[in-house]
Amino acid sequence: MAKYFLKRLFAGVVCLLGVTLIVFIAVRATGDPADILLPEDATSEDFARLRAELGIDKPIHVQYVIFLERAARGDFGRSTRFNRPAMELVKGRLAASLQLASMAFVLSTLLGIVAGVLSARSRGSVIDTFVKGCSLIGQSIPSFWLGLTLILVFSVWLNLLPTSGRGGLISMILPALTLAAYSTAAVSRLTRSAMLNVLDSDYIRMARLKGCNERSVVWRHALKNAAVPVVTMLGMQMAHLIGHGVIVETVFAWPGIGKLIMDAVFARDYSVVMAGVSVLSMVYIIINVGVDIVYGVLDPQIRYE
Amino acid sequence: MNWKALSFISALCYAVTGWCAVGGLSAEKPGGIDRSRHVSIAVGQEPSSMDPSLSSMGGDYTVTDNYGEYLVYKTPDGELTGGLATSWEVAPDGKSIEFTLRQNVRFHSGDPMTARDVVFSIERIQSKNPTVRTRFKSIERMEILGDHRLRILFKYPDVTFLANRGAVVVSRSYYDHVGEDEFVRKPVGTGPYRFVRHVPGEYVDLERHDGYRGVVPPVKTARFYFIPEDATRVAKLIAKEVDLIGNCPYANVSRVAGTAGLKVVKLAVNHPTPSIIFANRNPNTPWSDQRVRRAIAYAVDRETMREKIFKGIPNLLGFLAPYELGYDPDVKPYPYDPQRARSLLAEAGYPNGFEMDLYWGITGRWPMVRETAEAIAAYLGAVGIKANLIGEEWGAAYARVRGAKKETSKYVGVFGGGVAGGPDPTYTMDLFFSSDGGMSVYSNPELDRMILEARGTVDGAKRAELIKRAVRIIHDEVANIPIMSMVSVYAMRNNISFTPTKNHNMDLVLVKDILVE
Repeated sequence: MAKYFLKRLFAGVVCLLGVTLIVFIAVRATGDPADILLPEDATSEDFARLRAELGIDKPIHVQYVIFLERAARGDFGRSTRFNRPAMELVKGRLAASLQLASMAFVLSTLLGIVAGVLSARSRGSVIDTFVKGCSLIGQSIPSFWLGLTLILVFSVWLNLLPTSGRGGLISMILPALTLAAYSTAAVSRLTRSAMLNVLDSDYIRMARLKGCNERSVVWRHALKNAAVPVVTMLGMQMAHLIGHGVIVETVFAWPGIGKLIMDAVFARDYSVVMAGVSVLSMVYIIINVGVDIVYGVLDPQIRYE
Repeated sequence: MNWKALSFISALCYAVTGWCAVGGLSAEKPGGIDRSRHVSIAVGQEPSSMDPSLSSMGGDYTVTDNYGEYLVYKTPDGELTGGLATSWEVAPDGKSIEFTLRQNVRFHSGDPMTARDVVFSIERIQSKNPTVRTRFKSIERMEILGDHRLRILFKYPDVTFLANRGAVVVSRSYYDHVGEDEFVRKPVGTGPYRFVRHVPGEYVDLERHDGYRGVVPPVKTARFYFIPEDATRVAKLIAKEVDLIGNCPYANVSRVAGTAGLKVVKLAVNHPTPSIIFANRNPNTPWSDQRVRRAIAYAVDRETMREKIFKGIPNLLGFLAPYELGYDPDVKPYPYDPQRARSLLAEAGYPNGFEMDLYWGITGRWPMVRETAEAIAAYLGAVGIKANLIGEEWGAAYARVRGAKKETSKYVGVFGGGVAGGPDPTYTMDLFFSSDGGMSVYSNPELDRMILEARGTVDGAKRAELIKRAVRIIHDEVANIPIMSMVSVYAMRNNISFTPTKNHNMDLVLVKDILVE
């Protein structure tokens, strides 16, 4: 077990290096930050001076080695746009993203699994049709449209919830719902199809034959066996919710990491992009290892040897 | 995706955006703050830095201009007036300016403001602010003549130094005391409001500085929320979460104005001016011929674009706005005349038109960028010019303009040109129309000479005459085609009186300009 996790950890570090290398090259391919930082009347000397100040006049492999050396010490450099340490900006935003993603995750897990199970249990019924319909809408609705519609209904018309901003729990409801819409739909669809597979199998028939009540058959015997693919997907959804909230963050003015990184890409703020991507990659790796542990709990046949 | 589905979705999106803007008013939320003293403001852009000496883009000044003060200011008529400097004397050759500073001014940290702080501020900008430091390239050196007197010597006469308000002044002793990080995180200025806190990605709080000299402004505390999404910003106003918003989307202006309890205030900043600009150095391009550029000017119906795309809000100017130095009422926009456009094209040897690439930059700096570019392409198509639209992310668009000085360049673009509303007409003309101007793709040696002379002329009347002649050349030669000069729109609750100060950014909100009734 310990050996397995050491292996996974090593793979994680390799993966992290790979991601940073790709992003390091990609962000430099988007262009020169001097084009954005310098004003209209800058001369070529101004450009050379700024490039030297930013350290981007050196060959790219030298820059990468310098980046790794500093990153190992926790120093991701300063943001060219905000003139503050890049990691300081990322840390502040990561908390807000985790907060919103967790709420959306809980929402989509509970709603998605319950809806999926109910739908599979009464296949072809009104409930099933309703859940399938909602899933289709949830997966296809553009999130900025959904977000603006929720603001219109719940903030402008009904005046129940704040339009935007990060306040208490109440300010999280609309953005979390918007963010959770896609995941909920995806989870419920997958739960439904996994449950249908399982409900057809011999051991479920056996459980019914031996006289288990229906609730126990569905929620204990079937769901636990249907859960492995769902957990895989939940892991992916969690990662997705943290890093892909940029549209929701923009609509609801939520100070998350997605918008920070996207703005940094447009501003060619290399340090912030690198700090943000490194942190997100670490979060992804942690989530993946967490998913592996959950597999073992759910299915004792899975062994980490 | 098929087009029907796409247009259905976009129609839905527009409908929602519209609803968000007009939705009915509902009851006041309980437990509100004391409106007579607190004001909540929502703007689109978050400043990149809270330190006034690092402000460089439009949205930065929205917040920092509330606590950072400048050496000089401009009245709404464009006259210079005292700020932290009470008087200044420009040497006859224009190569030095001697400033006398205001006495007994203290920063919000308690440190006194002296000539040392002015020198420190300018040096700080020169070393730390890549955008603004190029404006100070003309400075040769600075001499401190006393606690409240200093002289700035220039390498060449620079009339734009005062027009750009000199410099914002930050505290040297505060810097020495707290160090760089704290200086940026908790800035101090000398203005009527002091900085309280910044929650990144969310808001900034300001509070009235009761030790401010002169008139004490009515609002005690203010919070600036940063809401990038236009529809959300409007919804926030309608839901009464804020009192005032900047940059009200043009499409929502008439609806907001028609909503009970709300009103709009417009301010003609006239800047930026999206324009069609031409790289004219390449003799193998059709538009190196002045007649072709003129044909394009006649081909584009700006009045209809103004009405349909911009809801009639921006100004249609020939070049400068009436309040600017060197304004010439005889310079008028070319009228829409497709017949004449076609005959000019035929005269230039293109009776069947031609094909070209038309570049545009994806930016939020002015509204309706894509629609503007598409309308221009359609108008050109109607006179036989096939324009292939190429939209580029802003950094790339900027770099392309910088690279369009080459003799092989085939650049024609829709770009935020400097026409009216700049700090000084010579500043923008130099930048956008002289051969070596940083944002210029145009070249005309005669114009270069005139701009250079105007820049170095200290005497206002003489400079006005030179500006007039230069504008005439730009207009007659069709160096560019100004499409629209922007007007800022603020929306607010009825109990707010707001008379915005004019500057070069579209959503400046000075809390001192706000009165709550």
